[in-house]
Amino acid sequence: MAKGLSPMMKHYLETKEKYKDAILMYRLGDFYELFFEDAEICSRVLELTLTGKDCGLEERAPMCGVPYHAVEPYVAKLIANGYKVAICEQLSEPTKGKAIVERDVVRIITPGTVIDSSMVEDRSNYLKSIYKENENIGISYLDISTGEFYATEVTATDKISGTNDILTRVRPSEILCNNEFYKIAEDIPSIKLNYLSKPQVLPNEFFEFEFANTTLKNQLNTNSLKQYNMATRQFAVCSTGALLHYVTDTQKRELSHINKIEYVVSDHYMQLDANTRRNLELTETIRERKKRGSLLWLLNKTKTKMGERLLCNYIDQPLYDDKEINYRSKAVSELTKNIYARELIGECLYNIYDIERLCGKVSYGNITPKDCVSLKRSLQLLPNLTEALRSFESQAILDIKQAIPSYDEVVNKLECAFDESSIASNQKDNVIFIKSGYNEKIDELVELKQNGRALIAKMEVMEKERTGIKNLKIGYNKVFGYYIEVTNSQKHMVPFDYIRKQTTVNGERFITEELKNLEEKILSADEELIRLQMQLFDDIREFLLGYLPQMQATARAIAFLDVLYSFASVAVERNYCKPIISKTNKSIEIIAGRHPIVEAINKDEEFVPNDTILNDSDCRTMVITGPNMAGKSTYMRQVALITLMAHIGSFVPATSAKIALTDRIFTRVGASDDLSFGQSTFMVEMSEVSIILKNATNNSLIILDEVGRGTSTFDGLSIAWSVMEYVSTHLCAKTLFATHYHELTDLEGKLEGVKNYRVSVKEFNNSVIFLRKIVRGGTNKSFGIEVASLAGLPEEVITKARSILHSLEQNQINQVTNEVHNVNSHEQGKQREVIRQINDLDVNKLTPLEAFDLIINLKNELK
Amino acid sequence: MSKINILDKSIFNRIAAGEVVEKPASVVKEMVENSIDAGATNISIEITNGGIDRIRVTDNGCGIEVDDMSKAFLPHATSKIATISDLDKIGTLGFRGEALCSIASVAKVSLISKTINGEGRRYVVAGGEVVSDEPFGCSDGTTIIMENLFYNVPARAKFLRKPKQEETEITNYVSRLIMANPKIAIKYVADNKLVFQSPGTNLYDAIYTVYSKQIVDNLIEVEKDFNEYHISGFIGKPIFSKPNRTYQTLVINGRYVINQTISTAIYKAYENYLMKGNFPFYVINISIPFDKVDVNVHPNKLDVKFEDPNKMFGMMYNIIADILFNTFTVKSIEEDIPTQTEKLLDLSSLSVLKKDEGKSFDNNTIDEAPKEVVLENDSNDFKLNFNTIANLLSTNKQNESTLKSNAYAYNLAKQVEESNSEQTNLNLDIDNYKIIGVIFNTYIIVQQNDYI
Repeated sequence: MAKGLSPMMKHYLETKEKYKDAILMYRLGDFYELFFEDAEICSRVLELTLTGKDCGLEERAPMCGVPYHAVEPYVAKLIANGYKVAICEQLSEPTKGKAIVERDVVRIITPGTVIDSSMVEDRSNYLKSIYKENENIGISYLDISTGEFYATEVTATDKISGTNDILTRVRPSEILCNNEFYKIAEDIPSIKLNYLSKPQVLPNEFFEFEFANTTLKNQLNTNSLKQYNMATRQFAVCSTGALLHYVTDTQKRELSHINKIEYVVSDHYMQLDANTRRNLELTETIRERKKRGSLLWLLNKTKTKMGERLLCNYIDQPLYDDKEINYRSKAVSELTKNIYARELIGECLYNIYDIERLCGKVSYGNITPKDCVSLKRSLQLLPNLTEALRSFESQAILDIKQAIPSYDEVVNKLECAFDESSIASNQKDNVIFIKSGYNEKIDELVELKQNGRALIAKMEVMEKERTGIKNLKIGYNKVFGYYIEVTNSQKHMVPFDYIRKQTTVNGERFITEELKNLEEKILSADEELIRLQMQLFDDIREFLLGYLPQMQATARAIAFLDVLYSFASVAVERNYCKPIISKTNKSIEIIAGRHPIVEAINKDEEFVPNDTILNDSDCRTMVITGPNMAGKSTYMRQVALITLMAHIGSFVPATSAKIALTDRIFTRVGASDDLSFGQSTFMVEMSEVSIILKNATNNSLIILDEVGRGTSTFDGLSIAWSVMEYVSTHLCAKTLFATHYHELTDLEGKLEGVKNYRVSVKEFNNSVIFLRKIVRGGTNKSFGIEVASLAGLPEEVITKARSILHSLEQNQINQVTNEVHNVNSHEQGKQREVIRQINDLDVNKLTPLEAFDLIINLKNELK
Repeated sequence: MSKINILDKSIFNRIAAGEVVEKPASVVKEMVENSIDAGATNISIEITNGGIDRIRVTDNGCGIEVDDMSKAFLPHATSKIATISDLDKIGTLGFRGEALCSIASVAKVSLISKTINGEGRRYVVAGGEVVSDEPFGCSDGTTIIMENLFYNVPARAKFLRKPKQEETEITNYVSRLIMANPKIAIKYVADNKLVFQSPGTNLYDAIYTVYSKQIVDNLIEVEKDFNEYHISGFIGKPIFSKPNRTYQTLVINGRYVINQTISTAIYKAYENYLMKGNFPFYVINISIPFDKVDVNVHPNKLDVKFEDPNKMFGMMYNIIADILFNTFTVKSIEEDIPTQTEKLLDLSSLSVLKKDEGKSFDNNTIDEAPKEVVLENDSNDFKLNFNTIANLLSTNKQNESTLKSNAYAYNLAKQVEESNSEQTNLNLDIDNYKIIGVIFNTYIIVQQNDYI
């Protein structure tokens, strides 16, 4: 570094060295300033003007800045763009003549550790840490704003896909990992495809078991991890070490709201890959990536932010445990039956604030008096809530009631301490938020302050009298403090003890010793008041810390109640029914099922319901043929959605539904060219199909929408055919297969479990009318041309197409079926022959040479 | 020169329609009654712009066969009755065979229906002429959509009231409908906003859907059999009264009607419990054998005629009076301190002064108040156990000084005891009254000398 650098610059560069991977916001007076590369980045990202500053080098250093009081949105934008931000504050007051002000970094804001509500969405925001040691992978994740802390280990045999599943199920905004994992990180699909940001590597020492174990125990304030089921999970523990270290390193303070950890068993949840989540539009729509039209939008009748977050989590993580599912749905059922209680509950919940995040703020130290009032108001409502729950008997609601004790002490303390009206008045400076009567000294000081005004007024009167100056005024400004203002006309009457301070256009301003003394008293009262207030506030914060674990548990219970309430409200409003899920039931039987989102959005048309029967014996696979636009895709998606909704504990849109416990749902729908990844439609499709074929089990549900597109007809048909066979005989998963290949309808009767269905249409007056009913039996008409004409293709094109179709139909394609038949039966015939021959052999009479010849012959026959 | 013309079908249909289809509310009524007759358990009603622009009623009833659809719009066509003797025992709500025909001649009507085993079909009629008839994908049940009411009779269209008024009328009708059919889940949406959604469970929930919690908290259940008659429902406690009859719903054989005989009978039964000019709340359901009542009386089917009105009157009166008496006779009260104000309301039957909610009296008006309370009861003695009154007043948490109130209560009760006859006169010393305030619109706290 050049010798000519100013001390400030030197310090800046030193600090920057320490935090190379973050954007350093350096507090200078009323601004946060950025230099060099940081400035260039920010000027671009935040659209700020790039200027320069003399720093002692030959060139001016690039610089840009933001005012300190408006820094939040800028930081939020940087975080949203994936940067880390280090905030360097001034730690002491500037004193004249001394060295530069002390500065240091007080916190680092990273995407995974944001705690300011303005930067956090209404979703949980997770920081993940992944530890890999040979074949073992331990993962832990934390939402720092609420203190939710989880850990798990990858138990799947395919570690890559197991890890991928966990990453898609709980999408983190930031990932930490050890070196060993980083080496294989590129193989994880969600990282490779850039759905998630690149992981950061932390040094191995933070992942070491000893270190991690101690750190974790210290954070959770316990001697044994047994109560959290973590005692034997060494890999998960290792991952927590790095995570906790990172968190304390960036936040630089104690975080006592992180006081428990939950071990999650991965096969407790249904597995859905990223594609399925997208295809089923769980949290956002495919086309416009909006919330409206997603399952989340449909089910979201929550009244609190905590409930909304939890609902999001539930939708992202459907359960694979019938006990847990029934635990939820029983409570939902009770809630649907009692409109009266439900309304009361809704009213209470509506007025409850986000207690979870408030607790995080208490722990983090950035809670405000306003927040305290919100907290008090929320806690006050809790008795009403428990009263509304009085007559409920389901276990879930009983558990919720258990977790909501009375918070009288806290409410009282907050009630006595805070003056709501002055807090509500939203003044910025010098607000006295402590209520009168709470603390003697404060009351004294407040009186003094108020009296101060009276005393000033009195002094004004006195001075007026003493000097005879009628329009004498005492004023105040930040520069001179209190002063006596006299107009020019009266100037001459000023007594000798007036010291002139300032001349203005109209008059002059003076001070007197008395005035200054009074000023001193008043201002010092002000300072003392502020100081004392802060101290009392700190005390209150300490007090609240004591109740933190309890309040966090209550908050979670309220969030859970909110989600159940939401499910019940939607169920009643939209006429859903309770799905029956049990481990022993292996079939999906839906009577009069409807697509929940389509029926909600398309209010003009009444949705036509359809039944579904899928079991694990004679009706495992539904082959659905029929024209486009007739409702095939809608039907298949509705089956998937209903199954999924049942697995999160919600009611489903049907007259009745029995749902088998499903471990995975796969969907292969839509056409997409992933050209940017060098993959054509067909390639993408085949990759997806291969994932399905490798991972499906007999408890899975597979939705295949037109496999075999994107390539020539014969190729496509062949692939579709053999995929069908494989799925049906090897995987035995429940499958819905929509196709235009009518030849596939021949599979019914030949393959076990395959049944043909079609979407019924009616030809009327040369056009097609879609009846939208799924009926048994295949069809061999696709009505592609009719649909094309509906879409608006020109008349000549349609007519020509019709005649071409006619001739094609006469000639070729019908033969395909027969050929395949012949192939099959031919092969089977040969095999039977060979087997017969082997059976007829008398092995005892064979010589080695004869045996050898026989084998060669048999082999030739099989060719 | 021939002056008399035989009117063409399209003309006389339009004229006759005027009787049946006065306003959007009557259209809704006709459509919904058809749905109920079809056995629907789920009915959805949607209106736009007060029902003038659009009315849609969807049900999950039995649907209409494809062959029947065209016949449905002919005049005097109905599936509800077939022979003359059927008229004497009408079991359905609709029977005249006029509604669909009338509506279709003055509006555009789309009928979409599907029976369980049949095919879905859509049949559209406008101004009496068939516009289209084609297969249609739909669910089991029927949907009728009416659009642009009176589009071809501008004279009548002029007489339509403002959309908001028409909507209010429809809303009123739907609320009666919900209470008359508690087992049907009814959803009512006006201009894309959900107004009511009843769960189709029971009458209590239906009343809650329409009215507020406050009303529902003050209901007494009614369930009585009287020969072949069955009376059920809820009546409101006397403290909840209204200055008009809008909070009264009478349902006879599942049909909402307004009937003078019954309403007067009930009013009479409440006579001793209510102020003059105040009417009680009730939702009463009467099942009468079909031959004892004639529904073909009023063009709107809004009234009925009884075979024996006097008997009806007497029966209703006795039943209601009985219930009121049994509920409000002060019996010995258990130890529990009542948490709701209901139990304490027994005193309301001793009310002295007029209740005007929220108004404060000055001393002048007291002179108008009756100086005596005469407690009459036809049937049984009205014994007031003075201990219980003392208990009541002392457990009343409003009173600041229980000693004082006890004394007052004691006085009051003593007076009652002493005059232990069928007619009990309570002389309340009215001179030194000062009204302090009204609580819960129920109590008037009165200070007399030192007593509260």
